[in-house]
Amino acid sequence: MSVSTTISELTHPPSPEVEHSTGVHDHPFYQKHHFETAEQQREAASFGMWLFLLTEIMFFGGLFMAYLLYRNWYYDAFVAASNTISMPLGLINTIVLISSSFTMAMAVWSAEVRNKKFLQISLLATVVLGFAFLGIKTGEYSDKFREHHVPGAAFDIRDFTTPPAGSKEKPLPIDVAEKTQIFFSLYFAMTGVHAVHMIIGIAILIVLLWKSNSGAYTSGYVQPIENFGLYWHFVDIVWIFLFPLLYLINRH
Amino acid sequence: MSDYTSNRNGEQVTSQNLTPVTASGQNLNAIDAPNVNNPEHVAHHIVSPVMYLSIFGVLMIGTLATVGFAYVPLGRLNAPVAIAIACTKAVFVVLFFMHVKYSSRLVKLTVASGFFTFLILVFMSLSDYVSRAWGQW
Repeated sequence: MSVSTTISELTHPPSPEVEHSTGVHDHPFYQKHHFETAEQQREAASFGMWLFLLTEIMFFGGLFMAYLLYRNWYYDAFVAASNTISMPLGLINTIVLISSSFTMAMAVWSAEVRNKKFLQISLLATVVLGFAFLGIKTGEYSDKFREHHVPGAAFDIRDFTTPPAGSKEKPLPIDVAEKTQIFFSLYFAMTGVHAVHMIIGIAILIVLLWKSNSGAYTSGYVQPIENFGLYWHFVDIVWIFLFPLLYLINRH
Repeated sequence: MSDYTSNRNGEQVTSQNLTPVTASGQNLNAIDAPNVNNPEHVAHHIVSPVMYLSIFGVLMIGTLATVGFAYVPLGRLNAPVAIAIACTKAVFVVLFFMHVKYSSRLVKLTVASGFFTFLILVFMSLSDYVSRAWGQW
């Protein structure tokens, strides 16, 4: 026996003889060995996903709390600022996002009934609708930049102290008009963080779409699709509240 | 020998093959399948596309209603109406799109505790602000 043999035995020890799990009992290919049953694993997965979503509720909850307070404090400024953002675009985006939630729900159904083609169509539709939402949002943001309604050094209160001709808004005193910045800060923070969630969601969707090619999600392994569905619907719920709170404070 | 065993208090009993049973020996899986002793074994309910489509319809109606009501001058009531519609829509999404209606009690309780914690956040913060210098900004 040479020294090198000994070293190679040290660095590459023979694999221990462990009985493979499939030799012990039958279970689906996606079931991890520390779960007793696939149902238990599924329940643990959705429980864990919901715990994550609870942290998300509190994350957005802080922003909603700030909104609630400042809206009560500076109501007139909030009304004037809210009426400068485009209601039709907000409405279209709401419809787009609810539609994407519907296509995501159909993706979960397709995975459950093991229809790979329809799963991929549904996921793709969700991606397309997600991009449509972000595209419209980009247009809205660029309008705000053009109008100097983005909080910061370039912010201009003239639209609020001397409303443009044809506007139904009453001119605001300068100190009140300054407070519209608080509305726009919250507008950009809340819709911005929401959009970040959309971007992350679309990235995960594309990965799911890619991996669905293998057919893993349509042979019983529904959890990744289902848990992503929970995330996507949660993002939808956030928008369901953002739309009336930001776009529809006091329309007339 | 009995086909089920009792614990020290003589309450919880388990059959020899680990099927959960009541004190009188009834099979709990048969009389209350989704929950009771083993919530992780809740039956997997597949929500049908027809159901998803009708929920989608409800959400669309809610969206149009929230825009419609926004243009009706209701004074102070506009905000509560908007929030009520949004909450209704959210409940439909949670119950059906997110399958909570068909989930185990563990998941139901988890979801409820999340929204309850959010309400604590709002009520505690607001009670602080309201009780200090409200209206003097």
